[in-house]
Amino acid sequence: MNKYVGWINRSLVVYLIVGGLIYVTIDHQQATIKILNHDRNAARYVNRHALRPDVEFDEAKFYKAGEYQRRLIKLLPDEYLSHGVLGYIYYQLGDIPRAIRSYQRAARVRPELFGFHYNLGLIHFQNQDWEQAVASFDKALAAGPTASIEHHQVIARQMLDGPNQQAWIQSKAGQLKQAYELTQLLRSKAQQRQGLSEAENASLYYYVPEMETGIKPLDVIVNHRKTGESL
Amino acid sequence: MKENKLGHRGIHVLMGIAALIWMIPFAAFFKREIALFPDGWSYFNWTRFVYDNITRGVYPLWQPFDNWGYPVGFKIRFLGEFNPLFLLMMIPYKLGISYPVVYFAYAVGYFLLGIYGFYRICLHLTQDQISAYLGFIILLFSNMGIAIFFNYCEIALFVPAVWFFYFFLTFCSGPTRSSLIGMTFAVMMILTTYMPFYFLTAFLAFLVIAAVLYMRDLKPILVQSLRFLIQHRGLTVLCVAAILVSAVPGYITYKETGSSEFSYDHRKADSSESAVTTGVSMVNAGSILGPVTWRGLLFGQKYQDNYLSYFFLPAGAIFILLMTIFNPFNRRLALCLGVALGMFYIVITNASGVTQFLYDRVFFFRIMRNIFYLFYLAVPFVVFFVVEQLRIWMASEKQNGSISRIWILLVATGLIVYLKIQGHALVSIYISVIGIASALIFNVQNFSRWAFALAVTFFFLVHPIDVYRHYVSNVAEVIPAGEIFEPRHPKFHYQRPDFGTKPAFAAHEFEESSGFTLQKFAGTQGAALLQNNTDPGAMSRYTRNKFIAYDQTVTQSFASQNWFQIGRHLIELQNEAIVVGDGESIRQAPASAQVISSDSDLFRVTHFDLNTISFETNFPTRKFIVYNDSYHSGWTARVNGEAGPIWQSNIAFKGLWLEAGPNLVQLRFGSVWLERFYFLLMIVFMLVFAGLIHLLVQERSRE
Repeated sequence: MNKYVGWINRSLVVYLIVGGLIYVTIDHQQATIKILNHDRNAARYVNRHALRPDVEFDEAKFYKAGEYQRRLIKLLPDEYLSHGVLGYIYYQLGDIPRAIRSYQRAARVRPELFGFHYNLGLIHFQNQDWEQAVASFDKALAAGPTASIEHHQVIARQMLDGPNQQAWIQSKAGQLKQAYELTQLLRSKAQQRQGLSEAENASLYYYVPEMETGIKPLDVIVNHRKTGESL
Repeated sequence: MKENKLGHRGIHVLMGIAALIWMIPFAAFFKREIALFPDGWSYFNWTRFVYDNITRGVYPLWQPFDNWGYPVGFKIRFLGEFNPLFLLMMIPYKLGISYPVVYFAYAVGYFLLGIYGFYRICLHLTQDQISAYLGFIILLFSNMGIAIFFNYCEIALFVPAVWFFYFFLTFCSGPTRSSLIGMTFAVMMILTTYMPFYFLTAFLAFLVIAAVLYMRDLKPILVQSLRFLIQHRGLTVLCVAAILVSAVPGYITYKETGSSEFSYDHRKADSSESAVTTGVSMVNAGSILGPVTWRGLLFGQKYQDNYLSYFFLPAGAIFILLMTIFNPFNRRLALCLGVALGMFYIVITNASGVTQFLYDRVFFFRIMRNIFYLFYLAVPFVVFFVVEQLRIWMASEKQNGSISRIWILLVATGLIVYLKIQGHALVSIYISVIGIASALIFNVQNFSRWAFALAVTFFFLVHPIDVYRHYVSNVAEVIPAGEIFEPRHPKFHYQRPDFGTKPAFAAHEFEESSGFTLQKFAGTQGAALLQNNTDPGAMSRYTRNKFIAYDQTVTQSFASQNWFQIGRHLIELQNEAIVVGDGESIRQAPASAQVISSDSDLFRVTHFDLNTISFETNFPTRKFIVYNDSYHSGWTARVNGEAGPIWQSNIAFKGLWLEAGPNLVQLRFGSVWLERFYFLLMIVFMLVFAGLIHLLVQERSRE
């Protein structure tokens, strides 16, 4: 009997019991939201950096924004926009393998969106992975612009006032057109296994995530995603 | 483990070296090359404020230079100003030693005293020097020291709390006069800090859990303690009296800030009658979740900022916890884990129901705004938990075996692989884990305790020093050179700076503000009304004038104010002071009130310090003098030696009628007896401290 008591009276057992106790007694959603809220400004900062050329790169904020998006993805695994932002963050931090994985996940959830395929193709092209680049560019070109434009319209309605919405959408449509044209050029060069210096400076295509518009509190958006209730 | 000890001197030399190493990453703070975080700067400033006044024989009860004046007790409470070490540092300051040197010598020295107290606790409990030394360096190189540059009030509470526990434990082991006086002195210190209720929460959690775990030992301890207290009843009565007397400043501060006369909007008080209470939303916002995450313990530490002060342990401590998961669990571990868990459940606020439960039922939870401070008091328990785990492991006969070595290797490898996969772990963590694992695998402690102590020191410290280096570089804000820290004295100026301006004051004068602030406003209710309802740019044209003489007064209620009209009335110096109470008017009064802008035959300030102002008047007619310093019921007036009424005037300020002809007026905040009591209390603290040192030295020499 003493032997069995000796086996049970181990720190590991206590840790497991305490861990279990914490797991069942705390409000996980509230805890996650608290942690997410702490890094929310960093997530907003990444948006500003992606959308405005005057915002400088801040590695610490990008790291924290990456933590934010990773946690959000644990809460909402199919949040393709967070996967997309995470891909952007990893790319800026120089973690290319993780950037690729994030864009692949985003593209799996929403294959009809142009940007994720384009970004993957661009990264593969920069790494001179020609076959993968061609495959991604093919998917990007096959995805028409409609879904991307519709996404930008949703974001514009949430973020901006009436006249500014149209200007923003037009600007994004212009970027989309340029990206399509570059995709065709890059695809052709990739097939010929020819690098292109412009590809070094090409920007990733960026979808603004809905929940970081700051208009809705995070817990409302999270509940909406889980229950399907309208915002 | 070898039986020969390192030697008393040897271990203290090692601790001294570790303390010096600790200071190196923070040298730029000490040299005033980089700025303290705003709260840290506040403690730096307030300490100097207290020094400048106490060395001139004035105990600060009122702060006249900011927010138009307010009772200053709650600001002083942050510092623990009755601490003898705090007071002793006034001597070098007065002798001309540079103030930053004095401040940091005190701040760092006091912090190290607290860490040394933790060493004494570990030594008392483990009876093993290496374990106690390990506790010393883990706690020293944790998040605790960051508070020196950030929230120093945490250190002001941490140090006496640690020494209280030391004396409490030694008293329970075998009561002595020194341990009784030590506990008493520690309680006195805790009561005179900002946050005695944080300590009370942690101590109650400790008591309840200890009572359950050590139930069989409880009765003999209680009997032994009571017997001792009865045998030394004189000493016991003195100790109780000292504790009661020490509670007075905190009680006065609580009443002062809890009254409806005080306003502290930042706390979002949920009671209109008490500014010191905190709304539950504010409490929930102080959660430790967010600033502290599981990943943050090992990853992303290159980007550390001031949230490092919330919780941090050297990676070596985490490795030790993993390595010892098969250790048997004992009561000490259960006690430490229980206290830490209890504090954890409170500081995660509304992610558990515990905080709301306590907030609704326990009155002092309604005044603890920064609830995460509680976790500070849990850190020593977590560190002792690590120390005790390692001690159990090293004392085990099996730790020399090959299975044990394989296990260490597996844990170290597993941790390194995990770190590598996750990414963003500092290289120093790898060095730390490999070094500690190697020291344990190769049984260095069995070859030489010195070698083991040095190896442990190096490999435990390499990670936190790296983290501190990144922290300092991330928060560094360079200070322009040329700041002067002369001792200052209060000088009366008839005018304040206008809002938005920051005129230069002489280095020996206290700086004054316009009264309006863009930061957390703390002051009287009347002043808060002005702050929140008037335009600073316009109103400062009125509030810049300290003294204004009116010929008549008019009564006005403060409910439903037309602030635009009131503002115009005051700015235009219409010759009617607005008072709460009965107004008086006279015929044929001049249209404008008279601004008093300098000494003259009609009006002269004869004395000014923080708590009092005296002036002489000799107006040809009866005048209502408004002194644009906040009204508070704690102010009293003596006119020609007789007590007289003070009226709340012009919303926020003080006013009184003076007859024509010569008058000698003294306005005073608080009572001179209260000031004398505080100075006497400082002497009491000094005496108790001296008594404690004397007894400790005496008992040690007997040993």
